[in-house]
Amino acid sequence: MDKIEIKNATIIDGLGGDPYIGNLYLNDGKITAITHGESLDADKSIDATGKTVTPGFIDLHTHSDLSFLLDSTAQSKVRQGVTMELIGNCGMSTCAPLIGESKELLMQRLSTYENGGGLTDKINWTDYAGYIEASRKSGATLNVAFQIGHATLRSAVIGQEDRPPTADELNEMKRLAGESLDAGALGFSTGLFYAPGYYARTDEVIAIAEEAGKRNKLYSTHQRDEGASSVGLFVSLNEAIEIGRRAECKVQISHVKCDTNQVWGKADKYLALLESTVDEGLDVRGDQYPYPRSSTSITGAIFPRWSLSGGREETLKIMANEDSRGELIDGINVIIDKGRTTDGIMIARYVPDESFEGKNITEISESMGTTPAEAVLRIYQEGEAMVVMQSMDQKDVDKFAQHPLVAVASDGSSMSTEGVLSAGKPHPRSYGTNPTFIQTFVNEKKIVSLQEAIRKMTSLPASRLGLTNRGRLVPGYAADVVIMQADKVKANATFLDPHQYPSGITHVIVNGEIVIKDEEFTGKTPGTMITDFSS
Amino acid sequence: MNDIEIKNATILDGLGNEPYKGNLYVKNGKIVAITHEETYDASVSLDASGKIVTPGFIDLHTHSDISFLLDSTAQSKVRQGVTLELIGNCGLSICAPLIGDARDMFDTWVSDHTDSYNPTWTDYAGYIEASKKAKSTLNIAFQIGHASLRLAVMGQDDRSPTADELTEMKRLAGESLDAGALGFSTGLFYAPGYYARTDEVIAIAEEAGKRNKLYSTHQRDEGSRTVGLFVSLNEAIEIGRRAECRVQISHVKCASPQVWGKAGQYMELLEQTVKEGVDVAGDQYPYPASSTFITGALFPRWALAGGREATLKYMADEDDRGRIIDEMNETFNQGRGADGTIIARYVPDESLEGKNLEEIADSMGTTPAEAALRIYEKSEAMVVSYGMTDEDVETFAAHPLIAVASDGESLSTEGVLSAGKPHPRSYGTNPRFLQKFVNEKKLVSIQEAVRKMTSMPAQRLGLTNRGRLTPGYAADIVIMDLLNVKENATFVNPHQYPSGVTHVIVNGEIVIKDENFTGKTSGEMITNFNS
Repeated sequence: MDKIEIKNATIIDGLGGDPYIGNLYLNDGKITAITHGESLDADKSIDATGKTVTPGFIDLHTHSDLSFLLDSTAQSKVRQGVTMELIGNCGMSTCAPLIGESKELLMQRLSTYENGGGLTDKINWTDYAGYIEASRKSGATLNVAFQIGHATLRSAVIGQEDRPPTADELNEMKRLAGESLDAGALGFSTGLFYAPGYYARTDEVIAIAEEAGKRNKLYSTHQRDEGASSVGLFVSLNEAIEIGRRAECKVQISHVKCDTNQVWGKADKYLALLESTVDEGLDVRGDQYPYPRSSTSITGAIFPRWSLSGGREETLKIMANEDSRGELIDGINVIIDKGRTTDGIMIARYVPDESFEGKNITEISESMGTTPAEAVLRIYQEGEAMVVMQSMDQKDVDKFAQHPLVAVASDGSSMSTEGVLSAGKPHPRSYGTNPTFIQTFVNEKKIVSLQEAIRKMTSLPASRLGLTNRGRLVPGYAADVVIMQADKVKANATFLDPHQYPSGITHVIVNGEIVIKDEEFTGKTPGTMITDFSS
Repeated sequence: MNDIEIKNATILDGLGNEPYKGNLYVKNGKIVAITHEETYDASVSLDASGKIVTPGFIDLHTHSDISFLLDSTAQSKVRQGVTLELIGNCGLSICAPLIGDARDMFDTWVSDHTDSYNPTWTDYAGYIEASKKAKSTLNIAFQIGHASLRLAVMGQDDRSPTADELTEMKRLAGESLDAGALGFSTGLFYAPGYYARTDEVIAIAEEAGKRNKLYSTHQRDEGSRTVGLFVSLNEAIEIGRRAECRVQISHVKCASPQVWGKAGQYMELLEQTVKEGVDVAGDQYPYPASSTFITGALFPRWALAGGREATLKYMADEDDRGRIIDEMNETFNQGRGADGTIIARYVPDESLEGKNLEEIADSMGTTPAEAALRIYEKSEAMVVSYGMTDEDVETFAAHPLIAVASDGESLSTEGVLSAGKPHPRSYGTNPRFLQKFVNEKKLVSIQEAVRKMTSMPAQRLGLTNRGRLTPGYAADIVIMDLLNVKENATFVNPHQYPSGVTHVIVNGEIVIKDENFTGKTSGEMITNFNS
């Protein structure tokens, strides 16, 4: 491995300290020295005059579970400066364990790729250890850390049923969670907003989260309600806090938001509750993607949860019966009335008819000559669809962005402008989260300092995971490094044209290897699997 | 070739972050490199295995204005790991400007240590120049004091300034700040600071605000003597808000039984103020006892108007003497008890040093108040007063808005600065904080304690080159055997250096080596933000 020198850099330590000028030396995957004035030997020298050098970004909330198995050169994250992704979020650890219905769900997902993404035959593992091993073999442009997902556990043990687990089922979920954490997962995640996570009562989640707590690992949650769709934003936030309190684990509230106009303007109240909880001694934080629009599946977005119990086949049966179809349409209309307006829901990915991608549900329903709720059912009849939704108020987004308890995270996945991961019109957060944050909040609105923005992308997420060797530019730490022209950082991905890499992030170094050089991919895949706190 | 290598160190960056292992290199007064395992040549190599390495401590609240002029080797601070002192606190910039009654104040202060010292300057620039020539074991930053300005322009009068007098105080403040002072201080608790109304202080503090410099204040009341603790704290905040300057509340405390247990409420007010956008923080010495002049501690303020001669006249008048004694007794009754008031320094009779007022009164066969007057009749005295609870002291110690500062001065166990029984804070503030709150009570983490002594005070002053272990920053460095750090100074036997602070480096020079003084006086005058 080459010894690398980064000269005349404006160094941001990742901890929020003021920038300072220095030279940074990397060798053998580590930062070996930081100097001022003095120059040391190196094989390669990068002149960083006028540029900012920071620790590599750690993206706490991603769904790249399949990305690197499909394409180890996936670049949409590393091009932003991300050197580590935490996967398995929102309760979905898509790739492990693969038992019962969880295996079927993965196969359904793979069927949306041509030839199953070439993976159908290669999936020969059932447990988390096997998945981590397969990920290590396939390689990645960046480091990957893992979580075991609650929905996956439920799919494996109970399927999609809307009921509490039996004592045996709960024990089995706990056992699988413990096994996965011991295999190297650094967290346990839930998606209580979605089916089947929504079917779980709080005590079930606490019981499983205790497995994370006793191993000092993270509990991440897509909370049960981010707006007014079921229990309400604040009941839901209090549930997340209560789980942390009773399971004695760190809590990470995923993609904090005030979703729908029912709760717009509540960001201050939300943050005040987080602050008072921290004051009380609980270790709770949040993360956020810097966009007012969200993205999920069309079922997650707008289907009443009772209609999803039993999985896609059951849902199709409900739709085939005239009476229950009517009830389903009524249920969808209630959700629309609660602020989820259909002109704000755009189809992002729809394999059966790509011409829908980029259009909103109201437009599609008009072209079909029917109502929006009916159009939603006709879309789902042919296949699951991904949607992008106008769900937040920019003022709330700004408040979360400024708050020190909220990290920056994408909720996206590693993609590429070419190949198997280049399809559809995904939310641009997969390509532009970190650049958008710097461009919008640091450079344009000037409401977050650059060192604070970098802290929210580096040491803050590292400390959430408990990592002792990443997220900080200090000798002895791993050589995950970003060089950028901070004032020229620009996200180029848009909602209509999302497959665009950002600009201004000139170099990205992962474990001492240059992956991005002068904004070009070098072909290197030096990412490692982060399976313990000192990895 | 580097000047100094510090090997195998557990490095604390000063910003409150987790320690990490590394080697640190110093050259030409700067930190030039921090490495993980790689090593480079250096003329001196210090093995820091098992020790922690931190930035030099910055003591925001000291009264060393005269210390280094009298003895450039004064060591009681640098032996604690202090590499920078901010002087001119509590409104007392004793050494400048030397105009009018301010010159008398200087002579009084100096007489505590030596018979004569003839200053060659009158303004702040002259004082800084003289300090530079005199040299010092550590770096010095300066403040212009409000009491000194008042003494210079209007003496000890108990009245508001005329428009011309206020303009002159503002002019002198501006001139001093432009000469290199980094702050403006008040001591509204004392005469003559007490005679100033809030608007006078705001008018002068604006001079600091427009230069982005600090306003430090010994607040008007730390207990329930006059306006009360919270009215007084709100006054300090209001001055910062209206003069648009950073506010440093000096030696925060709850100083009498009436306000014991109020530390939590005090901190809530500070927190709310910070949230509101006013840049306010405090500092604290980690002891339950305070120290000041006997007049400041016990005398009613009206009796001090006009200075010592006027006070002696009041005392000579039977009625006035009776009034002073009555009010002093009220002060004793309010909790500042005579048995908790101990003479620390008294030149006319050193045998009184270390004794409390009750003991002294008994031996004189009179009351404590009468004894206090008889003491002052001969000369001003320094006292140590027990007035705080450990609970409040600990609440402040654990709070992130409170820095560690001594309220002491650089002294020495030998020579002209070794007299009396001063408050042990001059010798033990930083070691005591580490020993009590980090090692014993585990109330504060080591990285947080070090932050309170380094980057936090540096930020209060606006310093961009100190308070942090980072390549390019000034080489002010402390090496400590943390678990063995011990204050040795006590109230009875205060002139004792601490132990466990093994090496102290000031501007790249080793001043303390293996707990011994090397004779180096490498301190610099810190007269701008990037000094």
